[in-house]
This record gives sequence, C-alpha cells and structure tokens, in this order.
Amino acid sequence: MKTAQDAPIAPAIVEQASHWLMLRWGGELDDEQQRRFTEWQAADLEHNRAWQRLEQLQSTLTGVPSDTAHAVLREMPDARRRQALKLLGALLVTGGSGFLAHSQLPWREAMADLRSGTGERLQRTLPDGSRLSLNSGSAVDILFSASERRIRLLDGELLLDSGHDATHRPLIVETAAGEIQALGTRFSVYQQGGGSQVELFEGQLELRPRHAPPVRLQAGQSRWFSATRLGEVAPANANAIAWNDSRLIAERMPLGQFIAELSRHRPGVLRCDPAVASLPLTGVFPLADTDRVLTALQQSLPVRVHSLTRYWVTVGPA
Amino acid sequence: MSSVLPPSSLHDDVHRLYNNHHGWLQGWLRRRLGDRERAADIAQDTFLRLLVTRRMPQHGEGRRFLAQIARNLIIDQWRRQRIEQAYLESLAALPEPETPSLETRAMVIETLMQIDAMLDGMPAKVREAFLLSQFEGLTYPQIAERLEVSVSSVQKYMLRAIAACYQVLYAE
Repeated sequence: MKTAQDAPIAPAIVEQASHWLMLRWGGELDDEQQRRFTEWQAADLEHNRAWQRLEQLQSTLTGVPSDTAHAVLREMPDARRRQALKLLGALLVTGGSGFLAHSQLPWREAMADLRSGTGERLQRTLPDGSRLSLNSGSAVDILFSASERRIRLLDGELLLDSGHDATHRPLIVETAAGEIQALGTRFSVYQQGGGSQVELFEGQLELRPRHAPPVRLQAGQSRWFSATRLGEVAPANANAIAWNDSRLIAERMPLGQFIAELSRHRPGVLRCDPAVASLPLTGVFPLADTDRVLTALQQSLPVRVHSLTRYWVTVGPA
Repeated sequence: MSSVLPPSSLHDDVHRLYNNHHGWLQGWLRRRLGDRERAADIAQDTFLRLLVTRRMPQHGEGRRFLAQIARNLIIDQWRRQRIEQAYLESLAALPEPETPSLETRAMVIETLMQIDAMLDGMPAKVREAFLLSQFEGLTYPQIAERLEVSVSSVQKYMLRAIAACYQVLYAE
C-alpha cells in the first residue's frame, strides 16, 4: 500500500523546491535568499516534504565518490542506450561494406572445407562440439590437429560458439589480419576494411595481429584489427549476428541501407533508387525468402519493386 | 495502454496472460537473444514485474506490453553490466588497501544505476551541465563558459536536470 509519504506531490510545489535546489547548487544563498527559503519551507508541510525528497536526491548523488561517478558515467548515455538497443537486435548497423561481391570465386575459396553461397547460411557442429555458423558468401578451412583447433576464415563472416575440448587444444581463428585465440567463447569474425572485425559475446579472446603485439578482448567488446593495426575497443553488437537465425532486423533504418544489407543475401543485382533511399523502415524480415521481403516492402512503404529479371531488381518510388 | 488493478483480479489476469503468452514471449526472447536460458529468465522476470508493478495491459495489447517490459529488463541488465564493468575498471586503478568491500561495491553500483537512469532522461546539454556541476564541481559561470551559453541558460539546464532526477526517484 502507498503511504502518505509516497503520495505524489503537486508539480508546482516540486518546481518551487527544484528552484531552491538549483540556487543552492549554484553557490551559497545570500541572507535575503536564505530568509525567503526558510519562509517557503515553513509555509506548508508539502513544501517540506518536497524539500526532503530533493535532499534524498542530493544524498543519492553524493553516495558515489565523484571521481568514480565521473569515470563511470562520463561516457554519453545516449550512446550507451543505442548500444543497448543494438544488443537487443533492435537496430542493424553492420552494413554490407565488409563484404566484397564476388563475381567469381577465387580458387582458394572454391576449394575451402566449408563454403556458403550467396543467400546461404550454414551451421555445423565441429568434432569438438563447437558450433560454427557461416553468413552468406563465406568460406573457411577447418584444420584440427592433435595440438590445436584452427579455423581459417578465407572470406565472409563466421560466428563461433566454442565447445569444451577434452584435450584442451587451443581454438584459433586465423584471418589475413592475424589470429584470434578463443578462451571459452562465443564470438563472430568478419573481414572488413582490409582487416577483421571481431565481436565477442561471451568469454575472452586474444587478438594476435600478424605484425603487432597481442591484446585481450573481454566479453561484450568488439574490435577491428589488421596485420599491423588495432582499432578502438567498442561494445559488441549482437545484432550483427541476427543473420544466424536467418533474420534481418531494421528499426528506422534508411531503406538504402536495408537494401544494401538485403543484397548480401541475394544473388544478382539489387539496387535502391536514391529517391527513396532515406525512407525509414522498421521490421523483422526473414532472410530465407528475399522475394517475399521485397513484396512486403511495397505494402509498407511508398515504393515499387522493378524486376528486370530475378537477378536485376531495383526498388524505386511507387 | 495499461491500468492498475487491485491484487485479487491481478493474479487471475497475470495467470491468464501467462498461459496465453509465456511460450510466445520466451520464443521471442530466445530468437532475439540467441540464448535459451537467458530467455527463460527474462520471461520469468517479465511476469514478476507485472505482479510487482500491478500494471496490466489492455485487452489485445498483451504481447506488445510484455515485449516492452522484457525489452526494458534487457536494457537494464545490459546497463548494469556496462556500469559494473566500468566501475570495476575504475577500481582496478586504486591501490589495494583502498579497494571497497563487496557490500560497498554493490551499493555504489546500485546508486550508479540510478544516476545513469537520471542522465538518460536528460538532453545532451543539460546532462553536460549537470555532470560538470555535480561531479566536477564547476560553478554556474564556469559551466556557462565551458558550454558557451549564458548563466541563466545553465540555471534552466539545472532545473531540467533536477526534474529528470526527480522523475527517476519519484515517478508515479
């Protein structure tokens, strides 16, 4: 039950009390102000109750050493909130830029142990119980030996849920940029901007650029690295792996970005007319049937899908 | 979208919602989080939250309402994790004897969560002014100079900051 103490206080009184607190935060009250403040406080029990609440607020704020608060809270909450939404899969940020469109497969990838075609996503359980998922257009070699478990990412993007190996062989993902050693983890790697983008969701990783000292990555972090350079540590983006359950999630995503993302999962050419590229789109879309997604677009946005053939599609104004 | 109910019909309603939507909610969470156990935990917490807050969705709004609660729970968990991590990192910089007890840590984290929620309700400039005033000890004229605004603007920012704080501590 709510007590009288918890009952709401009239907004006008809260506002008056806030004004006094604001003045106090600005410095000592002068004699005249102090006199008026005391008068105000004594004028009504509700005034006093409102003031007590603000004193409670004051003690909350001083309940943390200010250098700690400073260190912890300094990071902009907007950014934190956005990251939280990403983690929820409410925003899609990855973008298609990391993936090169292959008009033809280089022989190394054609010969790879495991390869996913455009629009195809694969999941495999490896001999040690690790679960490996490949996003559209990816290729890996799987090189397990008595001394190590090595997965070579030749192209595209992988997600790895590492299993517990009875013989404690190290689990290593190798890319052109270097090696990533898993220490009991769930993480994804994709090739981007001449390096590897690593998103770590559980456990720990060691990133070993080919020509730079190794660094540790903690759960919830992501980091880009190349053979010689390391990017900044950033929060991991769980939405980046929505592809693993065959979905594409958009929340107020510009249509152009959405189409670029969708085209990763569809053979042929899929383009977006700049005239409609900034239309915002929200929804969860199945990657398994991109034709259906395109049809659905026409129902939710003022757009028309022009198909020259199934392999040459443009999304333009209705 | 919701209404507060007396406890008696509340339990029936939660029960009905549970029967109708628990499976769906758990599946929805599992797809979002990719983690079966966490999905089950958050689905449970979502219904617990319904019981605690005594707020119920209107007819036909059940799933949307549950999803919203679950979403907030996940954001809270995530924020707590981030704050804990940042806090522990800031502690790591301290010499050994100054490390606070586990109990103190828990309390500090709780308080940081509250302050973080307050900051979340503030527009960027207001937040900046508030942080400078409360955690860097700057005066209003100093803040005004730093933000390139007038002192009276800083005062307005501070009023908005106080309102945001009040909202977190005493909403409803």
